[in-house]
Amino acid sequence: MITRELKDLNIKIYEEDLDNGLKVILLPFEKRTNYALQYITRYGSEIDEFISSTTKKRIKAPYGVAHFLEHKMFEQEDGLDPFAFYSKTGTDANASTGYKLTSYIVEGTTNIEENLEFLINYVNSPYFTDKNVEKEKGIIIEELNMYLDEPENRLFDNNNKSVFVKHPMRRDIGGTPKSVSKITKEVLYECYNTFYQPDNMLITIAGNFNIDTVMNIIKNNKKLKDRKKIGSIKTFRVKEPIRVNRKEKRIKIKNLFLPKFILTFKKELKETKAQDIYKFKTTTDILLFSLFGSSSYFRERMQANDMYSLFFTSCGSVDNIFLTEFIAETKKVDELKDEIVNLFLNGEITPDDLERGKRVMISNEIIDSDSPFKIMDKIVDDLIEKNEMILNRIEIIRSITMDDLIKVRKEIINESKDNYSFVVAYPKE
Amino acid sequence: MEYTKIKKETYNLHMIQTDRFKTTNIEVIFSKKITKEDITKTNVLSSIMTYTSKKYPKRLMYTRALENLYSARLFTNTYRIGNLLNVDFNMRILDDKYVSCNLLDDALSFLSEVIFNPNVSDNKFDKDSYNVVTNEEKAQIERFREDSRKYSLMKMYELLDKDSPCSYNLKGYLEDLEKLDREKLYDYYKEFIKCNNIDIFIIGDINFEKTEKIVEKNFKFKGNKRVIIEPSLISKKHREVVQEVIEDDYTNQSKLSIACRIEDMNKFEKNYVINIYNFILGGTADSKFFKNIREKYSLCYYISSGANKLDNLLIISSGFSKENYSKMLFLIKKEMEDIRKGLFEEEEIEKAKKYYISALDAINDSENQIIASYYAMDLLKTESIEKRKENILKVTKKQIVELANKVYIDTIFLLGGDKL
Repeated sequence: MITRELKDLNIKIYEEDLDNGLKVILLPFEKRTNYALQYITRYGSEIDEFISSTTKKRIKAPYGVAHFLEHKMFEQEDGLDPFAFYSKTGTDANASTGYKLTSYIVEGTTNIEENLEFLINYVNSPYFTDKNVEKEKGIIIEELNMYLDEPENRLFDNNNKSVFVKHPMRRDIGGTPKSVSKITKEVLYECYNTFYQPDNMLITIAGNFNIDTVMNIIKNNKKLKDRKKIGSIKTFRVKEPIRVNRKEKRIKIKNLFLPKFILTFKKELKETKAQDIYKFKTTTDILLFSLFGSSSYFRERMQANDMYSLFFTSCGSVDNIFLTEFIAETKKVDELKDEIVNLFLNGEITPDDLERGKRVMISNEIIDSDSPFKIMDKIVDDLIEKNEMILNRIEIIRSITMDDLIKVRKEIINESKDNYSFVVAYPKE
Repeated sequence: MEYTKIKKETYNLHMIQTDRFKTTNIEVIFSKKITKEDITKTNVLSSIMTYTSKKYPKRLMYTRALENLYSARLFTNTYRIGNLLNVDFNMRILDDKYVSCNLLDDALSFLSEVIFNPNVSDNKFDKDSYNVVTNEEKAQIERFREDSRKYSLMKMYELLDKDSPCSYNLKGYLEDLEKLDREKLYDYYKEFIKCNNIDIFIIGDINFEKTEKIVEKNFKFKGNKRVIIEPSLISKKHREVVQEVIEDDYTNQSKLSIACRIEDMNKFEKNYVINIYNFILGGTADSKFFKNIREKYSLCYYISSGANKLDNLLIISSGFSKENYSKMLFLIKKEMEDIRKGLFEEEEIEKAKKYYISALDAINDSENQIIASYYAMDLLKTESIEKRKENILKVTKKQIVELANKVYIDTIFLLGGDKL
């Protein structure tokens, strides 16, 4: 077992790779009553074409299959489903599917041993039948309908279709009512057998628990012992072009009452190491904080002129792409967009801005570190994205200089000043 | 964890000492009897007080002063507890040991500026700040309609009883906003600062004596007398004939909201039995609604119930295709009827009790929940966590059946589902 320490935060993380390839990450937190267990596979909605590990055939799965599979894992042959089991001890069970991962989550205060054992067992016991697959379609289609009724989701969906040319982010994680209705138990087993293999998965535990106890359960679990390494999985992915798909898109949305827009600057992400990506992103965060943050001249001026009723910025990477986003609710759509573009390309930043920005980022890291669950989420993200852990976030923030800020800024401007997408949603009628 | 409450002349000071967190949380709670007219004013007032202050009259100065407190976070929250309209001023700062200065002292002095020294001249609030916060309030009111699930619930409450506080929309009302001006808002401020019951909570790795002195120095309310207000709404009888309203709307899914009156609950039922009843019916992912209506019939993705002991209401919410409406209603009524007839297992009761206890145990992991728990003990005379854990175990099947027979569907509202 490898022990690592999060620098400046006095937090220890334990990591062990089992013989069958399963990775275990432990984050014990003494001053905590509850705990969270996660069983994660590196398989999300972005993978739809792959070579099956059992038949070796190339499979093209219907959109939304990873999410469907997540729902169906809760079905158990002996009838004791996870909700029924965990509710016996007042424990919460849940699951979620993202673009890159599917996670099975258990949160509780007692009975960690039995709860962990059950988690491992149920995720290792698929039970799909024609009948139970058919039954799930009604539930999932209603889930998709629920999201379709949220006006903001329509805006985000249109935005993804504008920003990305080929990337799976263009599609909803859950697929569409049409694609979901095509899913069969056969394709679920193909996906399960290919991606739910120990060397493609990890178990994380954060909160109040004893390391030896949980390791003992994981190492001696019979179902897990039977599973073997399968080696690398062949998936088919198209490379996302650097250019935006659509420069401008204006749509009307039902039940939207105030116009909203998303403005996205797109560029290539050149950094490959987790630490370098984190530094690039954090430098951009400081840039956005200085120019557009709550204590910026921009906000003071815009608010005084009633230029928006909501305004956020964010930035981050998706595979080989780096995005900087501006999201607003405003009645002065084009005026505000021009103000943003102008300031983003021409605004000045001072060393004082940098120092204030760094201080805010560091303070946020310390506050976040009060929650073992938040720390674990960051670790999992790093591992899934780059197979690395960042242990020195605060140190990286401290190291950012004015030169870094200028360099990052220049790079973003040069590469994305003519490469941005603008999506506006107006109320219908 | 150690708790102490000190009754001051104009406010109550609650301090909780714990080393579980890296931050110190300060919560100043203003509480008074709710009226519909006060909601919009309260929203605008709490926003303007945390937008600028007399000492920091420009937004930039205000936000940078907060940043200088190691990026302290200060926000307000307006909410209703039965008959009460509460506003929290919630401040979160890093613990002194991470910043090597007396941050608590500086933070409380900032908060004191915000509360006692607003950005007012000539008996009017600052014009620029007023324009910004009223524009934001207006947008917040308009935006409410974008969430069809919440809109369905709000319409249902209005149909249930438009004069009851449970139907008040805490986002505010456009007509009240139009009536307001900078002078009237300042008049309201003067009333607000004097006529509310005030509770100050501080939780963190603090020293009681020292903290009390800092609070005394910074918080000088004038003339506030504690008023005893009954938080519970009066228990009303259900309608003889169930009220059912359907409103068309172009959504993919119908949003169903149901209000049930719970009549004449005794104290034990309000504090314990109702929670168990709700967990069994629709409060968890292992409830009757979830297991049967979602999993067995696959009619919906979400269906849940929630109980409010102060409002004497049980609320049911779900979303599904409109053609399944009558089937859904039939199944919801059937599950409720089954509990009335005692058609449920001892095991379901045991599970519900475990959920309740587990939720109580997890309170200690969140500063805000710890504060909320002590506040409820003080305000609602809720028993201690230990006592609650003991009492919940005493709930019997007979009591649940008795309670189930006091739950009556009163109003059913269905919104939309009429695809374009």
